[in-house]
Amino acid sequence: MSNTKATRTKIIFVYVVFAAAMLFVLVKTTMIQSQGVTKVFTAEDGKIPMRTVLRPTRLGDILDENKTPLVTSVSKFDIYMDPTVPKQEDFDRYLPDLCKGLSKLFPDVSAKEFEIRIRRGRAKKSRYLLIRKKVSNAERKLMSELPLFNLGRFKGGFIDTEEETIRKRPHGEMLKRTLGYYQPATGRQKELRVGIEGSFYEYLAGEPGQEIEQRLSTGWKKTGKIVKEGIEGASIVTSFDKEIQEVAHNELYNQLVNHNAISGSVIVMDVKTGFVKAVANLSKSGDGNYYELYNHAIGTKEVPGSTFKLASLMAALEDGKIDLEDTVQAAPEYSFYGVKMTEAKGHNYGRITIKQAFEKSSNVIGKIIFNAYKDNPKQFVDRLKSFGLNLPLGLDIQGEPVPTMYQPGDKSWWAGSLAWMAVGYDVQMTPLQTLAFYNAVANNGTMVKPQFVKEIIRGNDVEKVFEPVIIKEKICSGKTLKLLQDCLYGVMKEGTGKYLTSSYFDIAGKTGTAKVLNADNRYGNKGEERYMASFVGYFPVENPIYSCIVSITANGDNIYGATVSGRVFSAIANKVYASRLQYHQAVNETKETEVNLPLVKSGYSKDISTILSYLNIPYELNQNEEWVVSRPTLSKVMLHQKLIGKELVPNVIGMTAKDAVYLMESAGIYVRLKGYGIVREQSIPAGEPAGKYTGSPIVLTLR
Amino acid sequence: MIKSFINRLKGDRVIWIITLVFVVFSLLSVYSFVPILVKIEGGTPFKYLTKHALYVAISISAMLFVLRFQPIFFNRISGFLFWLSVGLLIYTFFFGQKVNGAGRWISIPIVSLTFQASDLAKLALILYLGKLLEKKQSLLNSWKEGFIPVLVPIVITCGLIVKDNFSTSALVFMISVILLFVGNVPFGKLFTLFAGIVLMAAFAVLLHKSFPSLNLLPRYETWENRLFNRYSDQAVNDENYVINNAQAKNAELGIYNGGIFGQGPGDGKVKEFIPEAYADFYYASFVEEFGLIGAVFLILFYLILFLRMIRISIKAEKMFEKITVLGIGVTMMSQALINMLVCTGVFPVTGQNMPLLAMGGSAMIMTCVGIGIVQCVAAKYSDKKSKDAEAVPAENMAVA
Repeated sequence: MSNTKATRTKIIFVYVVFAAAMLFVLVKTTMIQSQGVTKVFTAEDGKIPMRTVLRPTRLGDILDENKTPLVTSVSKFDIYMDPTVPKQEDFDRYLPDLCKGLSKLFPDVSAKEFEIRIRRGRAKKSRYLLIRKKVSNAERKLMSELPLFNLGRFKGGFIDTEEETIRKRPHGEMLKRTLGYYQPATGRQKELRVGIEGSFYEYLAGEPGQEIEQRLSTGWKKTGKIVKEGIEGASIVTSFDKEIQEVAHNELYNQLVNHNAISGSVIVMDVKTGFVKAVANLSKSGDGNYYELYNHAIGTKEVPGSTFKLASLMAALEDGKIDLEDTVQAAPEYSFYGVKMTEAKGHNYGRITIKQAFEKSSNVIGKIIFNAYKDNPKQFVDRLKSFGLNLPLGLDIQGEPVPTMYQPGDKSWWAGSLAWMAVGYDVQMTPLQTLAFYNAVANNGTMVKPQFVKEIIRGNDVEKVFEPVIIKEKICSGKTLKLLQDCLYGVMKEGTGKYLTSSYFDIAGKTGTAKVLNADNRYGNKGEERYMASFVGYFPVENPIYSCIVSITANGDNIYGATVSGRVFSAIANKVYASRLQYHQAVNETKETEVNLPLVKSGYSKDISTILSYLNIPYELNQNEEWVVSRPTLSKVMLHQKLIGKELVPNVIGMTAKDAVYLMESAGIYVRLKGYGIVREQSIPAGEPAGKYTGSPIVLTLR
Repeated sequence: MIKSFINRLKGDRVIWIITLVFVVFSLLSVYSFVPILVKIEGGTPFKYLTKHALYVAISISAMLFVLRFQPIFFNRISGFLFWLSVGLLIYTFFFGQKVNGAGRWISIPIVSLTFQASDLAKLALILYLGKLLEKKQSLLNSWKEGFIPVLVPIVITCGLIVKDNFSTSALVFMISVILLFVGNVPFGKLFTLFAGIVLMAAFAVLLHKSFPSLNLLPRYETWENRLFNRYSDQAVNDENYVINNAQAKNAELGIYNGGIFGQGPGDGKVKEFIPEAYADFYYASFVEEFGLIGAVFLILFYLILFLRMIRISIKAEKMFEKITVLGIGVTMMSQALINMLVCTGVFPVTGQNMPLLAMGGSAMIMTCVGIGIVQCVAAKYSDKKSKDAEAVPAENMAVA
């Protein structure tokens, strides 16, 4: 059968052809794999381009003592759409609903407008149509659930891969400078490290991983190969206490506003450990409001003024030059080599003891020190240096200046320097440096380093713990210390701080008011005199827990340490006492109101804004809305849009009866009121279609 | 247990083993694709697994059912099957469901499964061609008596498919030509056939271009794009080309990423970029997950499978059996081959899926039925062989 034989040959031939083709496939596969050769018929060997890119890890958070976030990273997404991918029937069916949904999420763009944009994009075959920039993750989720978008990227054209992380401070202006920021070096600009974020950036950043990107048809894409795993950013647990911080910030803010001051700062510190509980820095900006513009507490050195007298007396006592019970003759004015030093407001205290001079903050102390050390001024300066007053504290965050302290032989030293130094001029220190010194007095002579960070945590592991650091075990003898502690207590009992004394517990402290050097190193131009009022101290006197300094700078000399700064101090002390100190059990003290703003009901925006502006209550109307709901913030009443749909049952909770009834009736619903006050409950929930309830009553419960 | 099960099955044991390995493996691939399907198409993972498992069950039952018959049975019903498939194709032509712009599907009401009529048509045509080639074997030199009657069913089937599915139509045509070639149709006639087809195609395109309103070839634009894009150098730099060929590029990238050992089952990325990765780009996804080694085994298995079929085809004594077995084998191989060639970027993108492996209902059922028929033929001759073996001495003597 030759026919069968021929058939057999043909069948084998078919097999060989297929086998060869399959082997060719295998060869092609190997070629693609080994060289990325894509075209077997051309000589061109284009590898699939590949590159390694950094895979950034999330920056860590900065937390307060109780792990409340002070700075955190928030992801923002840019949402795009590929309007060309949906099938025509899906597109026609879902687009109107999608646009309605989008417009509901972003009311500034109407549904119509969205629809026109998307249709135009589809017509133009645009594959990357911007829908919205910088939406939050929650909004992104809502968007992905809208009709059409819920079909995903390939069928619905929803593109949500553009992610950007931004740093966010949930508490706004509070602690802004101390928390700081990090700005990497760019071109001409050097890198900028501010505050805690700047100093601990390496910990916060972790280590970026590396991953492979490959050039696909539509651009560089991550193909999922991770070359190196990144190390997640660590979180910084600061020593700040959010509640104390809030009080400090708000009290300082109020005082600055009241006195139209230039700037002010507050520091609260834990006496035993040196951990800083709160730092507030506010400066008046061009728009007349106060912001955290510069970290005065840490970075601005000024003449400390009378608060420095504590150091002068400490030196004289340690050197055995004086006794606090010695009496001196005070006068309205003293003269040193022809240069006059006057008492504040020209007071004449007459014959007083040195202790009394300190309590009343008399400048006779300048004369006492001058007389005690005029033969050997270097001894005085050396003694001050032995307290550590000429050295920076070595803070963990950048920007601390070295205190200015002249000594005999310096260019700036002159014969009267002794007297001026004694009363806190001719020296310059930062508020924090002054506070550290007072803190040492409170802490039985042990000077600790002020610290802002308690620990660094990565995931669940504690990576680093910051222990208290002792700068000087004993700055002076116990005897001197005891005397000076009495003096500080005396200031509050008999002296300049008399009317700040709290009725609940005892404070020890010292007031100070100093004329501040202007930028040109002179004590003010004519008509432009700046004074710094400060108050530094600790509480409670027995077994001190917190030390605190408040300094406020203003134009003109009618600010005094006690009245301006002392008030902030005592407010903070009261608040801390009321809510924080353990020894205090149950006193029915009225809770300090954090905000002195009235309760504002929701309602018609024109009415509310008229009332608020008449009463001079700061408020902000977010958008030009007819109906608003109010939310008080630290400094002003924010009026937000109250969502009221024409076809929907409105939300009238929080409104007065008048407004509520008006809104309900205009939606076609008839109202029955129960009780009086403001609306607390509505029997038909908001958002229901109003048509359903036309003519039927809604019960509003008022309380 | 499995071994005893296989032992009990009649026919070629190697074919049985490979078929079962492939079908079981297809469950694994579905498992790998399910997450992305859920993401893109919606539904639950359970839905896809059950659907596929259901198809697998139907396929295996159909295959076992087919085993009950003798090859002659298929010879007898081939005419009926062919005209049934023609009827279904005509039905699809007018009432078919549209998937990806091509109306190729029939929806079966009760089970809510879709069924591609062309899958049945392929098998029916092969059987019918086998019957005709056997019947007309001695008349093939005559145009009127032999060649034309054989040609008519091919033209009908291809003509009905071509409008919506050019690539399958071309594939069916190529398979038919191979079968005609093996079935001893003279070369001269085959050549004439080729020339005629080319002329007709040219005429159809011309007609389509001149009267676009008739919409004679609704998928012509797609064909043109694919061919044009693939082979024109000019187009390579065009933005549109890049986007339209994203699938092909991604398939190559998948193969590249697979490397020698692959990314591991379920860890492939291609399926996230190519919507049809579970069918039309099966090979790329497979290599990405199982690597070059996986590809070698895959191809080896296919070649062994085909080799066994070739042996059966050679051994078969009747032309109908030869043509049927070879036709079924060639159909499977050419589908697999096209899938691989598309994934490796040699062929323009078309929708041929991987026989036995890919997710896809009617294709799997018809492939399994085809294998069942092959096994019937194999069983016939292995039975005969064993009977022959008993009677060897006498027969041998007779021959001698």
